[in-house]
Amino acid sequence: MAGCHQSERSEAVTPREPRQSTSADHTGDDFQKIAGIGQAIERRLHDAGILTYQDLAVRTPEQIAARLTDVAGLSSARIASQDWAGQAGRLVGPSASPLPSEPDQTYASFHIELLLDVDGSVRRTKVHYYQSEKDSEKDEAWPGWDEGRLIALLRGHIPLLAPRQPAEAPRQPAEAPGPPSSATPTTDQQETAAASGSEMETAKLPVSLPSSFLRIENLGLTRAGQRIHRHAPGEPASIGFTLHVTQASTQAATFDFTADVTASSELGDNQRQLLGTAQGAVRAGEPLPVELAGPPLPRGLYRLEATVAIYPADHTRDSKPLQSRRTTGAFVQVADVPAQPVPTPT
Amino acid sequence: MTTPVPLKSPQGHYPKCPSKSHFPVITGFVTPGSDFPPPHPLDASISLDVFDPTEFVGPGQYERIRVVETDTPFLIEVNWCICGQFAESICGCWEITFFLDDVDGVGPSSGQLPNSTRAVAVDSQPAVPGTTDDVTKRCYNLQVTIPANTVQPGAYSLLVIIKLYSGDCPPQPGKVLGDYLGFAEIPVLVFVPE
Repeated sequence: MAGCHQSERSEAVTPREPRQSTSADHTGDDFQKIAGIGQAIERRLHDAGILTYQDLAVRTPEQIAARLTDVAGLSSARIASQDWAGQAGRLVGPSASPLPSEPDQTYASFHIELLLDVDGSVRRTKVHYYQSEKDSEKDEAWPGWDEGRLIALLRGHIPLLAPRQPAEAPRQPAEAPGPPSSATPTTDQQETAAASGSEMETAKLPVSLPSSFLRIENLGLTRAGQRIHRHAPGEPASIGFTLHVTQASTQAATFDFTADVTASSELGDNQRQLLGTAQGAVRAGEPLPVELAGPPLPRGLYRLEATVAIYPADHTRDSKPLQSRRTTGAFVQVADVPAQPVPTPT
Repeated sequence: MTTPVPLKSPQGHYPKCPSKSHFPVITGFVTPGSDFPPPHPLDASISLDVFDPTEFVGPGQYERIRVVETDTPFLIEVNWCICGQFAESICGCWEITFFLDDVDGVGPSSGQLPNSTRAVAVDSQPAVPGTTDDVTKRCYNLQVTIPANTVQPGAYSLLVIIKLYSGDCPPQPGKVLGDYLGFAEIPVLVFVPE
């Protein structure tokens, strides 16, 4: 790999100066209607080119904070907790549509407060939901710790976390029990899996399984069974890792698994390549070494990533995973072998 | 209880005079190649200094300072180099941010230095094959002049942080690459009223 995979740029050192306009140059919406925004911040927002409620509503807290770096004590966390975008969106009204160039995302912010006893037990649980439009639905509290109630409360506010309704059950008729498809994912499938990987971990994690249920260790390149950090250009990738599934009394002893391993370029070019997919069965409590082979990688610096999903034994193609986990592995380089040092004559 | 006897001579040694001016700076630069065994496929180094852009000590050479008069501007210079065989392959955008930390803990100017963040395109500088050390390098120089009266009097430390983003420089810097971080800190920088 020689050079970047990005468009050509000719800019030299490019100072990122603030906009030179002043608040007198333009008029904007009244941001002081938004809780958390005063006169000074409103002026800074206008100077930064954020003039309307809609301008504010379509931006993430990070994007807003990035425009206000010179405002002391202002952080994206504070902007998120005060829900500037949500407040602005409500001031815009329901008919407005977000700008097409902006990401379509919103925040669901919760504050969870646990009152603990001296022995660490939970005496009281309080949850505050910032984005609620009704004050009566902002706060909820109950004595002690109730994991199921907490999860149900979160799901009640976040549609994506809600359990599937019967009408949304698998659209494809269930097939005979068998292993998942062994076909290598296409590039599109790979991109989808990569993009939703971390989301999958959260969304499909059963509450009853501890986070340590599935572990992936020692992810790296191998050659002849030995861990290495360098491949020569053109050398097929050989990857290994160890899979651990914790023994749990409430679970079966054997599980099916699928594992996708990708290599992400570390050179700033956003390149990601699927190296291979492995699948099989793993027994709880018995570390399973997994080896898979992939195509040669272009010359570069990479970080390996593995996404592993665990299913009940003999699951169907439409089964939801019991747990999935993505982990990053070692840095690897694909490079020419450096010249051997010339031995010093004695 | 005994009364301490006043010492009549130093109990330790006087420090030796330095052979040349010494301005210590704490630096570090982590890259994805930092932990590979030598020769590192990718490594980086960074330096940081502060100058008085109104005082010359030689032709085109500003005076290096550690005491800044608040009513005069000061110039921060950051130099950094990416080294190794992958130096020429890196893409993206460097983001350089500056922070002041008030040593006395109550100074009014702590936090991010206003209007000082800069972006530098990675490919704005070419990779140059090494000469004496046989290591390919890609080096950058950034000078930021901070206007007078930006910082209130006090004792501060000055920190610069360099991060790499995967996209083009503003307006679309992309995502930050968490495996790159350069930093340099001048432990003591004193601002005094004129």
